[in-house]
Amino acid sequence: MTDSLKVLMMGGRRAGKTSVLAGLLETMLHGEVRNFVSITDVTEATSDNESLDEKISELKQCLVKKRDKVFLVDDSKTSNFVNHDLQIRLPNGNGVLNIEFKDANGEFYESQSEYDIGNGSVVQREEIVRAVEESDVYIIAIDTPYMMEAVNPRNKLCDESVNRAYNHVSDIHSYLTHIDDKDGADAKMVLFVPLKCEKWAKAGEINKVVERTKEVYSVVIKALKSYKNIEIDIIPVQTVGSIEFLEHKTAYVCSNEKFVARKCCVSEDETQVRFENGEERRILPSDMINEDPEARISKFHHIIRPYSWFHVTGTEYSPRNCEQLAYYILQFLLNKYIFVKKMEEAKDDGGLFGIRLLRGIVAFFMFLAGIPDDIRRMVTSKINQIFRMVSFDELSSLVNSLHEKGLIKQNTEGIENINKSLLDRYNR
Amino acid sequence: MLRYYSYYSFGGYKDFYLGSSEDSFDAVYYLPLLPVWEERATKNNDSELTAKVAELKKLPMIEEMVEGRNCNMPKSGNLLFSHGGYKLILEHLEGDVHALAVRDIACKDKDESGRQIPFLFIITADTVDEQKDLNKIAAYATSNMKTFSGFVASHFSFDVQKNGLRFDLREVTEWLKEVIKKSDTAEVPVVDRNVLVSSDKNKVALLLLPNGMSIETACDELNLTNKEIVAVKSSEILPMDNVQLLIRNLRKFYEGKQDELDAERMKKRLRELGIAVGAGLLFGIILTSLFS
Repeated sequence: MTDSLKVLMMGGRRAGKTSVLAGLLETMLHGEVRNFVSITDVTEATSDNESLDEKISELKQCLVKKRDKVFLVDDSKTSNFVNHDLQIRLPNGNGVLNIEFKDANGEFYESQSEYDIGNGSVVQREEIVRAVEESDVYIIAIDTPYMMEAVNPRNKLCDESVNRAYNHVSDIHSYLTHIDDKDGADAKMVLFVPLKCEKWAKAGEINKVVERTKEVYSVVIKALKSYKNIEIDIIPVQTVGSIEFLEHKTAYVCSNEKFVARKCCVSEDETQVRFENGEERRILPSDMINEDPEARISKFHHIIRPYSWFHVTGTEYSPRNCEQLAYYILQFLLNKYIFVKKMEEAKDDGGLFGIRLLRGIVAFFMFLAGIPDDIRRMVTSKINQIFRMVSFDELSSLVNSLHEKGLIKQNTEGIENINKSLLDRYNR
Repeated sequence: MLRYYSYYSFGGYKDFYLGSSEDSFDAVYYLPLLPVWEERATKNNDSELTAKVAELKKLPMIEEMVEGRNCNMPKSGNLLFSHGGYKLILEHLEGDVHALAVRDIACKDKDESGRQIPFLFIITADTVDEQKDLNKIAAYATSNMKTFSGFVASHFSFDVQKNGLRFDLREVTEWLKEVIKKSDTAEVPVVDRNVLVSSDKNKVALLLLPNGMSIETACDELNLTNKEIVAVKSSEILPMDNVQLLIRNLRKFYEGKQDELDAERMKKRLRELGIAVGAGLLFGIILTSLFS
């Protein structure tokens, strides 16, 4: 897809990156927003990627099949760098906006760092660095159960080392150092998105998730705040709505002469075994129960992760706040466009110091005038390309409508801005 | 010596060196819990576990490739592990090393949703004789992808006793020797010709493109610049071990041919029609000029 806004999704394996995009598509297709904007998944089908429609239908089937059941979350590995291209059509016009979500599989983030899991190859790391450099928006997908359970005193299986390794906290920090906001000329947005928040949202504890996100990612956030022009938000998401985290259990393999069942857990009194589909039975004398070797997640340290078990509480597929990602991205894009236009104006008015004074925004123009021509041209050209298919008025009207209808959430349900960019200050 | 590598998922995807055709072990193992048990045995002074660890440590191990431990894989081979754009490729890498890589092989295990977990298998050769052997293996794998993939996949397994991943090295080596022995030539029959697989320096002797993949995209993915490339589309292959696919590919080819013929006929008719119209016009003009 050409002329698209590039969004890089970062996070561990099976954190729910694809599911949140499926939720975004679903909520925008069927929510109130459908009355004035339409969204289509225009991803080129290949054998490697699962379409978002397929993902939605898979999630819906899972809810029906597993209602009231306990099950182990699908822990299989995806093996590729998958792009999801979403096309947003604006109302009353021909405006089209393309957003490219680059969704790298969790393994891509597994660097050789001694402090993280460490499986990614050099080429993969180079590819992520390139993606970081090219992108405008970064979505940090966080596996909330591992993040929250690491500080649950009753949970002896998950600690901070498991959480940091599973959520690739250090890796993500190290990759984000490659963000280049061109000394403030090229605005960026980083969204921290705790996923699978159903349990905490329903218990009224979503603020705990937000506080914990700030705590775990404090070093990353501090580093990002040192940039001139990066907006940082936290958007907790209920990925499916009816699947709640239940518990962490040690991962076992149960085998006997007839079968080998991976990804099992055993009861506290070690008399029952539960299989990954939630079925339970007594442990037979012929059963051999071994620790699951795939639960070791660090080659440098002996970090063994427990497996997350979930409970299906209903059949309704009702993701919540996934669409906020799209709204925040649209709002950011609009602000960035206005900023770039002002940057161009500043260049045109470069010699007229008096005019700038009259406008009463001296500092802003001094900042803009300080931007080298080549960077200004590059940023302008990039944003103009994105806006080739949509007019400023169209996008502006859409974002205004989203605000008027109260669809863009702020300071509610845990959604919180923790750092404003220059865009926000100067566009006001 | 033929060396075997894989990008395989066991507790997350990893680049593995599996062993070589000169190794004499029946099987090699990847036991991620071994160091954990070792530490636990020492900490708890557990003699039973210590004995178990000592026993397991005697086993030949699958090596995990990390930065600084490339297990004889040339640097240019890294792209084969990390990038797509091909189903099968036989490429000269560096020096005398040639590599045959087959990707998207379905693992025996499926995930909870019934989806396949794919993996990649690479064989390298570093002598002239083995280079020729690799040509034959590449030709065989291309024409017998189902058999080749199924065979390789079936030789990775979860070993309950050792509690880890097992690769049956000796059986794979023996089977590859059989494939080489039974292959007279290294030719791949495709729908309208035979493609001779002949690896050489600075050459991609065979690039099997997945359906829908253009050669430009593949070259871009794999950074194949300034190399002679012999490319074949998956839809052109005549699979020897998959009758349904064979029929589908043949039909597709003849449908394409039919379309070409129809287009050619249409062009011919249009040409004839044009001539007729032109002649009619000319005749009309002559008649008009004669009677006016």
